[in-house]
Amino acid sequence: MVIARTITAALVLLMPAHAGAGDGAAEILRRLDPQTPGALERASRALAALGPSAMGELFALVSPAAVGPQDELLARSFRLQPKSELHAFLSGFTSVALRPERLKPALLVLREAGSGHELARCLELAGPDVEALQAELVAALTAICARDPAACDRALALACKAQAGEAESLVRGLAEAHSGPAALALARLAEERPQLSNMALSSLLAEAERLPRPLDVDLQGALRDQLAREDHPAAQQLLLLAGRLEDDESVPLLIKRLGGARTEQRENALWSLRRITGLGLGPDASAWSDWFEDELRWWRERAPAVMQLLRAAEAAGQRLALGELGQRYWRRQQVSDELAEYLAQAPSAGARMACGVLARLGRESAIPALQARLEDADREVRESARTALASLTGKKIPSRAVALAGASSGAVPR
Amino acid sequence: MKSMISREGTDSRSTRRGSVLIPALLAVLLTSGLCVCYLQLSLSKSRESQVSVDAKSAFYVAEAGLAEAYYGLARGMQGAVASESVPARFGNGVYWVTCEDLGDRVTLRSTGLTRKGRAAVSATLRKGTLSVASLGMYGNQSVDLRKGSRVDAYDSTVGPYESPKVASPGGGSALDARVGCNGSINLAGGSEYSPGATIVGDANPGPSGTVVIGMEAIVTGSTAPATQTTTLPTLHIELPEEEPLEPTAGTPVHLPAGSYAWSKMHLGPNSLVHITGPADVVLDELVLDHGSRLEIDGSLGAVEISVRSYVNMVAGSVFTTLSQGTDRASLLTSASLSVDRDRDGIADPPVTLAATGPFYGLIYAPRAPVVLPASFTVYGSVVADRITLGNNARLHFDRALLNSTVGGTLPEFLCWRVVELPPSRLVDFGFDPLTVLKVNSVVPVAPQDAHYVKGVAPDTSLRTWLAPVTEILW
Repeated sequence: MVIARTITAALVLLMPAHAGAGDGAAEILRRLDPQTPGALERASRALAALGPSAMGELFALVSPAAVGPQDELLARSFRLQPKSELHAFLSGFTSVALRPERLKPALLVLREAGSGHELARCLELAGPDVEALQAELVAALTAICARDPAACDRALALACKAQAGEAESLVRGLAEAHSGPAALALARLAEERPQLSNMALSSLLAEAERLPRPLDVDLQGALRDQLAREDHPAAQQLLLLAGRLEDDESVPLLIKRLGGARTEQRENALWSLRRITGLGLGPDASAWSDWFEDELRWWRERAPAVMQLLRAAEAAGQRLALGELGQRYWRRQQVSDELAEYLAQAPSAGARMACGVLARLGRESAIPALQARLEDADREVRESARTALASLTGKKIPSRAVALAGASSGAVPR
Repeated sequence: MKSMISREGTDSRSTRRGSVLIPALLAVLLTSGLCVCYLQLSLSKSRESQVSVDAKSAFYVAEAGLAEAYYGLARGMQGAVASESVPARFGNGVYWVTCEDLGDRVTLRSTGLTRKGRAAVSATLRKGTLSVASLGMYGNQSVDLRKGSRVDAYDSTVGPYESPKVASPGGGSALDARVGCNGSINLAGGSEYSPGATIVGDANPGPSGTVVIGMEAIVTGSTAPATQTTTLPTLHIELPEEEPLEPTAGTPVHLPAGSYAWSKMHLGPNSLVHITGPADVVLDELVLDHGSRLEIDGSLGAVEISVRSYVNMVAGSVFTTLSQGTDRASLLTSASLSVDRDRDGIADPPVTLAATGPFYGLIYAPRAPVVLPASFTVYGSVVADRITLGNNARLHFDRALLNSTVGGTLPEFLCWRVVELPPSRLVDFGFDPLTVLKVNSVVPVAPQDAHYVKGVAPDTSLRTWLAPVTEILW
């Protein structure tokens, strides 16, 4: 703030006495060097420091094409204005009040500074035939939903009663926000407006791998509830979502669908089962049922004792526990977390085994634990950790340094 | 005393008389014993020999099963042949083959039974590639279906195209279309006034792709992502230095069967070229102006048009086939660059198909985007780098192309081994399998009729076989 004020003061001093806010902004933009680190941020603050009264001039400076760093900088400076003044200014953005060539700049400003209150305004600006401004509209909706979790609920409410084109934009905006609340809003939309369920869930499916992990429990619950309905209009998408989100708890439902009468659902259920478990079983539902019963029995009867053995100090017990955990294909994340914790203080023999099992489980969350063992005193442990990291990241890791530097960044999404 | 001695002597002779019978008897007994032993040994040897013959025979039957499965794979079938509950007959034995799909490889496991012989062998093969025409509608990067467009299927071996009646999610259809992509498949939504895009069949995106379904859009089949990406074969079109063909307006040009090459085929307004198959036409550029017509008659043989760098069929031109065989016409192009060819300052796309159809056959443009308008209905397959099916456009996939191996490669053998016999009462019984099948009123199928086509789950159930009573009593 101090820097912004200083820059503003300096600019005011430098500028002629008759210069208005628009001239001040123009001067800031003229001096802007986008290549300088932090220059955009500083310039944005300086523009904001011109005050709420300068918003009109700043908006006028946004080019009709509304592209490029300068336009984005101008739009971003609105975000730093006091909320009430900003809201009052944005309320003037209507398709009637603005000339057609100012619609794109308006959507850019809304994208950078709008809140959930402005969602309906974005739709109104794009008009009933949203195709011409589809990209800008979706970008604005996406940015608002990603920035403001409360906006996701508003978007849901709007989508429930919107026209087809507007609803599609809202769905795309929510999906591309890549946030938990947005994903939950899409899942609820599929429930509340069945005509939109295929679109909402397929959009969610397209972005599923970019959702932050661990997944929101409410989201998983909402999807599971809908998955339980065989006649759901978007049953196909729900089946695949279970796989893309690797929801272990949906395995019984997937096995049920695999044994169902509908071919297309069987194929999607099989794809998800294979993805969740990593098993290569065929389309025979009974084989999957047998496997799942074994897993359930193990988790019910053996898991507590095995976990205890793993945590105990006895090497033989740890080997036994690792052997059993190595045969698990359900709840792989849980097993991987346990093993990652164990690996942090495991003796050499156990660490080698744990590295092998972690590689098979294929969970990225194990990467830090494996990286830590790259500096182990035991050469064989180092080698096992390196091999496991190579397997998890899908890349050849020739040396410890490369593994430490690049394994996490180059990880293959799973 | 003498008489006594004499009597004793007489008695002794009389008692000795017939004593030879004992050794004789013993000899007979011994001989009989030896005979029995020999008979036993001989029977045992015979049985052993029979078992050996049966085992060898069963092995060859199992091998025949593998060969049949390979034949099926090469024809585009699944690989599985018959099943334990209804095996296939081969000579005096039966077999069935199961198939495990491992992505780019496939493991076949054949079980052969003859009389008392049992054998199971397994082979792993790298999958062959089918003709690109079997891919249906396939985009390397993307597939977009606009409002009102529709992809469905028919089987030209059964009859001409008829619009499938079922078009609701899960409604199912015996004739599913195939839409695939290495990336994502997008179906535009509709509104209350216009329908969304429709796929009557399967839409399988790439491993990390998705089928994004707009409002009122429909996919009736599976939307499961593929397990691996598909590499489209590259086209190498060699073109000798040739003159262009530019027919004069109003004078039709008839090209009889044969091979042709021109640097450019440019059909101006009111010009017509009629190609009769079998024919190969190699071009650098193919341009159809408004009012021109290019006809392909494949009734006597296939016509293949290969274009190296530019295809432009503007709206108002006609590009059509006179026969309805989808394997009788193909337009292949390696065009990939957008170049300003008409010098209007705007780069022209490498492939423009705005002509009027219908077209029966394959359109293959592995490096170019292709937009199919509503005027150009395709019966057969379209494979391109990116495909857009325009508003209200139609593509009817011919399922007969699923088994087309033209231009494909055969499965490659990787390894072979003898494996454990599968758990089955038919295997566990020591009886002749044909007798067991007869007792259970099961007629083994002919091998050629026992293949499973792709998409059909093989019968993996194990039958509860009844043992033949007469054989047990015997």
